[in-house]
Amino acid sequence: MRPWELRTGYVRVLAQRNQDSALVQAANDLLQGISPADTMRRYVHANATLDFLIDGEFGALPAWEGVDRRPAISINDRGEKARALLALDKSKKFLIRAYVAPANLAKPDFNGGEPVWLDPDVHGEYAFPANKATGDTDAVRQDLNTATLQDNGLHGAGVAVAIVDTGICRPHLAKRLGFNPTLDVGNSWTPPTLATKPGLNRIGHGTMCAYGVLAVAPNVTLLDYPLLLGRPAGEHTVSATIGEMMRGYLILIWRWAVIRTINQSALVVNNSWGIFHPSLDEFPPGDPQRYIDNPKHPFRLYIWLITAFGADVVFAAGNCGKGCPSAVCLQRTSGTIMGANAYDEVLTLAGCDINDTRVCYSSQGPSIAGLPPQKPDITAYTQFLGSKIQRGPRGFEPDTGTSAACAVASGCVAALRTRRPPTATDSATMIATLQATARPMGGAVPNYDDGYGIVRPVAAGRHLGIIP
Amino acid sequence: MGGNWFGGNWFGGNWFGGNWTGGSGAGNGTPVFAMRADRPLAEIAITRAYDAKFRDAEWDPDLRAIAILPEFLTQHIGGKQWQAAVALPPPTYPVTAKMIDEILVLAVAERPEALGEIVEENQNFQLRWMQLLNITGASHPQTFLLMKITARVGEFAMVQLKLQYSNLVGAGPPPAWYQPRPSQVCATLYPPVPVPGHPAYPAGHALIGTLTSECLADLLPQYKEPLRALAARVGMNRMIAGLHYREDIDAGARAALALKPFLTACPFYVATFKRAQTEWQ
Repeated sequence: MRPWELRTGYVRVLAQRNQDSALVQAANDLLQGISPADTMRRYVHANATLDFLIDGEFGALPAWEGVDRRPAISINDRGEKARALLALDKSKKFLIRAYVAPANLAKPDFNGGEPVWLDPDVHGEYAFPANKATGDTDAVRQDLNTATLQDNGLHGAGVAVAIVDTGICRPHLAKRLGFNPTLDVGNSWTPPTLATKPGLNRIGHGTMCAYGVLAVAPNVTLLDYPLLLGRPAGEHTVSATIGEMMRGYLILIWRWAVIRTINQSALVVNNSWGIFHPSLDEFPPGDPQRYIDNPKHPFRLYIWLITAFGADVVFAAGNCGKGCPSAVCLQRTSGTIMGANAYDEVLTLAGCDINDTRVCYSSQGPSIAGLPPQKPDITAYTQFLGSKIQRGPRGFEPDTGTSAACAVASGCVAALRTRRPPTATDSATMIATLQATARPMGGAVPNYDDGYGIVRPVAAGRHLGIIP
Repeated sequence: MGGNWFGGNWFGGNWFGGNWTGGSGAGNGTPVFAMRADRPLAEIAITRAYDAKFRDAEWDPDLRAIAILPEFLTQHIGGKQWQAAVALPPPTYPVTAKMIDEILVLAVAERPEALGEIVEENQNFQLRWMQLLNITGASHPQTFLLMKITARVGEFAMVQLKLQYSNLVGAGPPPAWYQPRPSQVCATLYPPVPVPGHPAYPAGHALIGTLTSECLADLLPQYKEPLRALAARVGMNRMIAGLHYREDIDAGARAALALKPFLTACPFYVATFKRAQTEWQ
């Protein structure tokens, strides 16, 4: 049975369930790169009802003590301690994906009293239409003073940068950059519904983001996570969902903190994506099942976990700023920093052009009510002729959107991480450092247009003591 | 949605007039007619074939398929006729902002890439299925006829179901009115293909596409997954085009599954299905 066969319509949710051997095995399948569909078959057969369809292909994700409980971990717990704390068979709760009849959600005994949350569509932060470039990659490098970074050995060597996006085309990057960037294929992950291989995805948004990182920190090791292409099977949608993001993040958490196959000194996760409009959230404001303004959505647990283990998670603010919001914003320009893009644990990026002028589409704070209002955190460069992923009527289009700004900032963080691993400076301190050393813009600082100002990686490096 | 895949149009166009009764017929063969009106070949003495027959294979499958309808209409399963078995919920009316916003986001984010498919699938969308199976009307005439039969029932059911949801909540007296197309609610959706001349609910492409895929999956189980994926894709493209709400797509697909048993019980369908099976041996 497929979701649209529910006679009363459906909502796609992540439902919390108690531990079951099938759920443990399904999560393990996912981590082993095996489709969990076979493992889930017995569980689905035993637990699905006519108004609660379980997506067996999604598998199951551990929530350990529950989505609202956070394991006592620190950055030094990677490895054996993480393995013990996060062991799948010790996880009391799991998340499954289900399609449910909307009318049933309000019933007190729904899902056995266990909570459910929305699993909404998400998209890359495209900025349409692309405007004129205000400079090129060299101008970005000059403004960021990457020469000084590199004089001090801050090239990004030993730092993994996961591009959570639409996939990377490494040959294109090699052509545009003049060197073949390092890609860790073994630690990349492709959703099971995709046929492409890491580094060999179609040229597009993800390649643009990888370029932005490499323009600043050329020696990073890329990890290709084309999660935005991983749409749910058998459903009438074209988008990835937060559930797909969570699957990818589980893989990252596991490889970074538990089995430690990501054998680098630091991990940066670039997220140039978000949810376009509040109408894509199925539930009314105040509903605990919402995503866009709910700090207790299960994705928060995964974001918290990966940052607690020292990864730097960088998000684009969005392209819904006053002045020239992207068409996908449907003219909405307030409270547009939503969902994970506004979490405390992440660095949220506004965009400016090469002339240090805020780009008019860069989403402004305050964030949507319910989430930390002081976003964006800092600003980085966008609107430059860089990756040349797209050709327009007048030649190559510039890299645009807060997507490109996010990638440039990820490159700055990766450069700093070359000589300052998270064991020395945790992700929260890194965010605070970048805020404190940013070049202020506008009147009051921080403000809702630019946060603390334009990122200055050299100043941040001096602040951290890794640049004399 | 009738017309001819080869020659005429499947969907609009030739449905009203045009070459509805013309087209290529089953044979796709060479037309036989006098080359010159003033000098026909009639003066040549030939042996006449008084035992000549118009073979079943020579039927225009478009027309031949119409014969399914009386069989379909008289089917009863579990004491119900097809319409009672389908029993769709009524569409959401008035249309909500969320329904429109969802389509607007898709129009902006997805339409540029989907446009080619949208235009290609606007008419004759069954060509997609034929491409998937790598068949033509000539290579697999019985499979082709089976698809025509499926489409005839699908389009009939679609019209009946669309008529069924007339005068929704808040309606006044007749003349009847129906679920508006999204672009009637929000003109800036501006569909890139003509807005069809029938209401939005349920979606015809989703209904006929799903029915086609499910019937062909019975015939060709090895193609089940790609057939289903194709039906979902074609249905979703109509939403990206701004022609349907999501609930139209879901309802169309759901209706297809509900009415399929009434189609597959028809003797004409059963006989054609058996003959189609031999084409794949």
